[in-house]
Amino acid sequence: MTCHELRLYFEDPLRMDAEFPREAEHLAHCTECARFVEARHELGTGLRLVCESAPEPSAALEAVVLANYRRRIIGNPPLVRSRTRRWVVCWTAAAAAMVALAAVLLHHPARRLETSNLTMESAQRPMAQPGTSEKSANRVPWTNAASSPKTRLHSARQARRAPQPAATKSPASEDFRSLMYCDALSCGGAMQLIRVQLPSSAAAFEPAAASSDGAIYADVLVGSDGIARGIRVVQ
Amino acid sequence: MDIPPEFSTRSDAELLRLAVAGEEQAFLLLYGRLKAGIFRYAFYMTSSQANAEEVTQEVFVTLLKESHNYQQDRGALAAFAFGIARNFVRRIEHREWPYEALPEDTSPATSSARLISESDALPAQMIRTELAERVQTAVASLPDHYRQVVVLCDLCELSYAEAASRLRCAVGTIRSRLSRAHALLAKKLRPLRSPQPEIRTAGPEGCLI
Repeated sequence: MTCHELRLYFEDPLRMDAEFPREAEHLAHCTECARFVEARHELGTGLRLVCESAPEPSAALEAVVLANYRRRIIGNPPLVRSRTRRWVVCWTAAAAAMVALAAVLLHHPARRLETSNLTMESAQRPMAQPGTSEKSANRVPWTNAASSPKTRLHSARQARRAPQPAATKSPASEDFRSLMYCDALSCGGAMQLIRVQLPSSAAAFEPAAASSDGAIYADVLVGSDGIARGIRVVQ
Repeated sequence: MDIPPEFSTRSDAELLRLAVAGEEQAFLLLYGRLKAGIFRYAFYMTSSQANAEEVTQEVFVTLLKESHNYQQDRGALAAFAFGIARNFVRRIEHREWPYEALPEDTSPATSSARLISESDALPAQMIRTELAERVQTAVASLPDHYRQVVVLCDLCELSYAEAASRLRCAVGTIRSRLSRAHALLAKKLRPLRSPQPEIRTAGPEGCLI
């Protein structure tokens, strides 16, 4: 038997032969091949150990897979997603809540700057004035949107479809707190009104605003650039 | 849950069709047939039980969702499911590649000292566990095309033909890749197997002084 034949014979490390008389004769004389066979045996032992030490899938996995199957078959509702995706959703929601809380904390009445007396009405005057250019007439009359009880988000398309007369008096001057300096240049675009739910810890600043379930709601004015201009806690 | 005996003789493809049609027991039987292979493959490829369970879960979700894409004439359902599992494993590897482990310290002195202390002090069971861990680490460090064949043929115990159908390549390719992979594994384990002679003859005290 040659070295090549012997190495072919022991190619598979998982070979379980206990006795190999023909090959043993060669191994007794060839140290290189003996080393090769020893290495393959050790590798085979290691692979078998790895194979035996594999864990079994948990029972919870079967329950989740079955739940996914049932939900899919019943009517394609959202599937139970994997652990990673649930974490992403949770962290995103937590980050959004933190941003909203920070906005409330930064603009607490005690910390409000004197410049906040600069009302939103004066800041938005170019937008709300009737009889201005056609472009400004197409802008969203956010003051009316704010007074609408059922709509939370007004788009410019909705405003064009049902144009409303510009308000003679803006409630922003009474209710909304300015979140940034506004003038005709920086607050010139259309506004959107978004109602958000704040963490219950915000009740410390507006105790009267807390509902029976402890939730706080606020209307936020967002400019066309996505930056919040004003906030009003819903009483 | 009792599986009706008539389902037991059905093929995987038929079970999938029945499962999509609403037969829960067919789905359970299909899950029982495929889960072990998918889980083991994902476990050995990702070295993580949590990731293996995630892959297994996603494979069955995708099987239900993409059942219309399965063509029976192109191969077995197990191979189709394996293809899905392989894609998810790649996604997980891509997701976790920034956290790749540092290369193992395989310097002869370190390895020899470890081997001597193990031989003298540790019980046999711990040495076997350690050997299994080292082999698993060595398998995980192989290039992907070698790792696939080692996992499929050596660890998942598939035949060469089955592995070839899973990886969509020739049986000869599987053989040659497996041979090279074994050679690489043996090379990676060599420092542990044959320590430096002078250290071995010096004994454990010699290493410490």
